[in-house]
Amino acid sequence: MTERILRALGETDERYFLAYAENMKAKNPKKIILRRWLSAAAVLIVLIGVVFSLPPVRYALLTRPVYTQKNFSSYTEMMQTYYMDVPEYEAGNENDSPSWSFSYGSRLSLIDFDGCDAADYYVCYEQSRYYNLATLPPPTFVCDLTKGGVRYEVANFQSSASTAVPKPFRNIKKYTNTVIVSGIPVSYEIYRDRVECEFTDATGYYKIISHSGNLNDLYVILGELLQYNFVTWEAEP
Amino acid sequence: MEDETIIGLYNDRDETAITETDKKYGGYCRTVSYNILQSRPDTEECVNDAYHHTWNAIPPERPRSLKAFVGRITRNLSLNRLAEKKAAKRGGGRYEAVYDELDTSLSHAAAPDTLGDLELRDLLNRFLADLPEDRRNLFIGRYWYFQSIAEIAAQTGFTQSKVKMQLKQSRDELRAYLQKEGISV
Repeated sequence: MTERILRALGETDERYFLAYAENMKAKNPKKIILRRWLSAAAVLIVLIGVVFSLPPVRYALLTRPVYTQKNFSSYTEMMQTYYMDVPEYEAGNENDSPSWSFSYGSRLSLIDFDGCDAADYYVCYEQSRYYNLATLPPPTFVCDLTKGGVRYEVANFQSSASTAVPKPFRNIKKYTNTVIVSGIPVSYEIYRDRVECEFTDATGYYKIISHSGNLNDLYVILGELLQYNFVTWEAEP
Repeated sequence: MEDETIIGLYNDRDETAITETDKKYGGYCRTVSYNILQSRPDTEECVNDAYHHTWNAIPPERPRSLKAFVGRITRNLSLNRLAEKKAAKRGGGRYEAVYDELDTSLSHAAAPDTLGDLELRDLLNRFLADLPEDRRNLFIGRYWYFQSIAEIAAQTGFTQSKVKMQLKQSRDELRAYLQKEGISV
């Protein structure tokens, strides 16, 4: 009888043994679910790791500057808060040669200038504005481009500093502003891989482009615009 | 490939029907057979025989489920092979263990001469239908597929103790059912 039962079971409704066959494939459902969650988590972790190791992503995330903002009662106070070894600006000390340093938050950026004229103050101030450290509006330069009959000639020039910028980020503007040079607005755009300055005066449209994208390039451009000219501050009202 | 298409190949006497059957249900058939025979060479032979029987049966047979059809043939051939070779010991004793387990519960029941195979099949169908789904699955796993207690436990997520206990309950219910149907146990 027992053997007959075992054989007869083989002829029973196929739904029963087919359903069990499906369960055999599925094995332990709880383990399968757990395994699927763990696999999904592992895949997610790997994807996050891959994405954040990509140079463009790291560049965008890790090179973001630290922002702080403060109000200052004077331009000098701002300079002394954020810069070290800053002498008091006085008219007439343009020929001194201090070294400047600049710090913000926990990052340190060194800028050496070989002069103490208004241009040097200006470039330091611009850098502080770039990093949004100061709320004072920038001073206005007055510059006479035709002083002494020297006309500044626009040209592309090479900058020795170069920044490895991942291609997708090359056209992203880091910073834009306009300075007034001898009554002429000079707009500049700092990209990650170049600086472009543009202005239009009575003689036509001019554009200057550097070959790397950091503030030093801007300073060199502005410095070259100003080097043959007399510069004075105009105090803010 | 869908079952309908494979059955069509059998009807057209296209021998790729065997290849397609093996591709789709070969693993299943080997599992069914190996659980009984516990021998790879015997399993391969049985599964091949099952395909041969399937080839001879279709047509005129037109099974609703090719998996059930070839699965049943494989199971029966494997039981036949076991009986012919008297290979209970060589099979690792699994069939013998299952047989003894069921036989003990049924207390060496004896069916009346009038109980035909079809009637016995219908009786078992009614018994299985009345079982709760969990216990029916365990019963099928043990007495249809000849799986070990450990295999059933691993598959269902139950502990081995629970599997044993539930199988015993099912066997006791089968015994009571047989008695009710006039089979002396």
